[in-house]
Amino acid sequence: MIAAAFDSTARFVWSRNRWILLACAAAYAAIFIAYQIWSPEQIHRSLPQTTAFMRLAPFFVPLLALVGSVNVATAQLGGREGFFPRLFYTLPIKAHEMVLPFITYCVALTGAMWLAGGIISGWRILMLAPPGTPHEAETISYWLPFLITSGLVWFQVLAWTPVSSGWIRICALIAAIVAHFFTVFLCAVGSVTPNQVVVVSTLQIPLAFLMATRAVSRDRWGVSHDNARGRAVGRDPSAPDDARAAKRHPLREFSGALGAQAWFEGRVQRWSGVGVSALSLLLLAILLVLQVLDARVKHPDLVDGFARMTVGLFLWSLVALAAVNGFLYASFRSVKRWQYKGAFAMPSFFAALPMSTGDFVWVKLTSVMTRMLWFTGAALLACGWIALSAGLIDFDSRPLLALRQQHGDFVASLLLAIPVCAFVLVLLGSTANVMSLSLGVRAWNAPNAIHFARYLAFAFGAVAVATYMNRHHAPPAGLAEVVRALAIFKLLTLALLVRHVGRRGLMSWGRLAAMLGFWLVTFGALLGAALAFLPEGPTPWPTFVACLVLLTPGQTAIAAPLSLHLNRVR
Amino acid sequence: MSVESNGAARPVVEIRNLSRRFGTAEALADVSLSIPRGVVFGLVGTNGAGKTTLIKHAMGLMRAQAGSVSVFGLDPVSNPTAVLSRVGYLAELNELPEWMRVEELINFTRAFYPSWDDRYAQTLRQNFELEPHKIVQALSKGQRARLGLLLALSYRPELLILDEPSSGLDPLVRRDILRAIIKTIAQEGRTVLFSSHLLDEVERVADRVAIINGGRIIQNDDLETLKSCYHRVVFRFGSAPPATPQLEGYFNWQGGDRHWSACYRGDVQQAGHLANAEIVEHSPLSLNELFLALVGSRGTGKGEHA
Repeated sequence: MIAAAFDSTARFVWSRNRWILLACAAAYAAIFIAYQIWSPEQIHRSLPQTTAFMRLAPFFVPLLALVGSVNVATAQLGGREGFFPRLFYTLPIKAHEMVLPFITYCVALTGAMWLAGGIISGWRILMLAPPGTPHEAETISYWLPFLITSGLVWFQVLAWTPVSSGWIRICALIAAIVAHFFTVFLCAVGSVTPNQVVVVSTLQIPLAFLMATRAVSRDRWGVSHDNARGRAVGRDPSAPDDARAAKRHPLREFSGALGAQAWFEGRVQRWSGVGVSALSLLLLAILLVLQVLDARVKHPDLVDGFARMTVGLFLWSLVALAAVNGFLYASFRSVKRWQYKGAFAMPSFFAALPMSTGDFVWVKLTSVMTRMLWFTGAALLACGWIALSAGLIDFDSRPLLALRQQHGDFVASLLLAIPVCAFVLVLLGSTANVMSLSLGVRAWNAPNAIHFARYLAFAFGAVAVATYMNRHHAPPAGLAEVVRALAIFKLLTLALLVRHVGRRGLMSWGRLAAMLGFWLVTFGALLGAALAFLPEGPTPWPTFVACLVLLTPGQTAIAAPLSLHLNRVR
Repeated sequence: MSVESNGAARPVVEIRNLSRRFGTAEALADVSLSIPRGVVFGLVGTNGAGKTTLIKHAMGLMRAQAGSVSVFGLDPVSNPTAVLSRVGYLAELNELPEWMRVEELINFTRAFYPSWDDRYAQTLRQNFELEPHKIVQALSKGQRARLGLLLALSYRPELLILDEPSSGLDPLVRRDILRAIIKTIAQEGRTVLFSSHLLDEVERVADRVAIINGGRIIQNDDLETLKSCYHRVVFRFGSAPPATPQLEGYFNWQGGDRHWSACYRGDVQQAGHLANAEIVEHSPLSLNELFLALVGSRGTGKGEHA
């Protein structure tokens, strides 16, 4: 029976996650081939992201596989139910036989990915010292895979455990994350040895298995549900929550359809991307504690390193948030079964509302961009505070001093704000682009085919140019002309796209002008940042401007009404 | 149930030579249909016959590959707002936002319709016994159907489109839906288009019925005309015929030995007669019998019209 359980679980996990696993395997294969063609040192120098990818993938891929395998229809962390796939509850197997294959596959997948990454990179992925550290000083953090595996199995347990209140699960998840980070901290300062971490982390696996078996068994027989219901004898089980919800969210008076839809977007996506920023917030909290404890006096390097890592993580979180929010805001559903084909199809309820497609797109765009603006503002403030308090910015450094002397403090600070604005605008434009891509649903309609072909051609072109430049240390002949021609082509297609969308009545000319204006402002900010801070290089200005035209996001967003129209009207 | 007598009035829904394919499958083939104002139009057909596809075209949720669709004289694809603001729609898959409370959903939908009638919505909510604080996810299938119906009716639409509204629902909810249809009809000038498998329901409320099969409209007429037009004729043969009898105008032969029955369209008295058989009995067909006779005799229905 246990063999059958392993077999059916393997089929289930594979059917739900095959694209993620295949994509990951393809990425590993590509890195392996790249390491064979060029040396690992060379790749690490020019493309450090490959190492970062192999460090992060053994955590995120099994986590995504877990999310993809849970009971997605009710997969809300704030929910009371356990998320173990219900399909297995009807099988004639015991709870431990259900749980064991999932935990085994999680451990095996994580182990296999660390092993593969280790072999491919010559164990560089386990060397966590900053680049430039003498080779002999680098140590292999062999305890890391064990600690991460422990974290993953506990995530599984917490996801499967039914709780009487959603907050219990969220608090338990935060506690698990804090405990694992604290272990890293203890290991880094030498309070615990790597061997102790390995032993304790390994012991977590059987412990998590026992806890998961109990949780799944209780969830299977509805014990926890009965307990939850017991508190409201003789009443509808959802009634207390409903009454509380009614108190929390009094009915809003909407000024019109746009206001109502904006409220809907805000409510339905209120938790989107919050998980992504949780890690950064946790690091910020730890940093605050370190500041309060005045840890900088005793361990200045550690605190500085931690501050740099937090700032880096905040910035990467913003990029991840742009991707996540852009992706999820395209959906009209609160439960995002994003791995299913119909996840982003417009539900008939919304499709039948008397609101134009352009209005729907406008509300989505403004909602997601406002949300991203809040996130970005908060993150930049946090980064600014960390940088100032940890002394990461040296105002008396030569370039800053020169800038201040040349323009005065006020103008210098305005000039410094330009690249920040450019970063924010590019981030917002990229968010809108991602949303537009998702609005098109996973179907081979015209906008999707054009976007896919465009991005693919751009990616292949960039790789080809980078490869050529790596070999010859000079750009290929005629590249400047091609870039200029492409920029002109992009501007032409942008104009044609605006005309097409406007003439079809999918969006008002005023809104299209606003979107075009946003694109121009983003381009202007990028150009301003380049003019203010980039040293004059060998690239002629027309080519440089053409590059910026190509890199400024926004074209995909302008096609969003077309994408949603094809989503709404099949 | 009044059929507007003024034939010159523009039909509410006008579909001309509509065709639609999904890959190689033909969902609709040269469908033409006209629904006058004030009519309850029943669309009946088997699963996969093309009812939902036809309704989605009328709602502007599908673009016509060939032919044309107009609702209130407008193309619903290019004028979605103008058309949808006058149409109440209850989809087969009643995909309501599950996280909202009932009152939130009503309040949300209300913002989209200037003609929303708060008092009527409140009355419907009470009649349908929907608790305002309850979350949509916690509603039963029947309650969801009632909520969907409430949302579709509360702005008093000129055209009510119901796609399989009572499919899989208990008799009480079906009764509510039928009552809602009847009440809608009672309001002057309202039109109802609804699709259903449940032919007894269609028979109870529809003025006009179209039978769709294999993407083709095989029958489209007033219900009374249909019922008076088709008859089941029972024959008694002098001796058992060696094979299924054949006679011009008759179809859907059933029986065996000396007793056979068949359906006939038109006046039985003027129909041809079989030499060695006498007509024992003839009676008008119910909609159920008519549907079975027409659809059953055609298989996939890709043949000639009756």
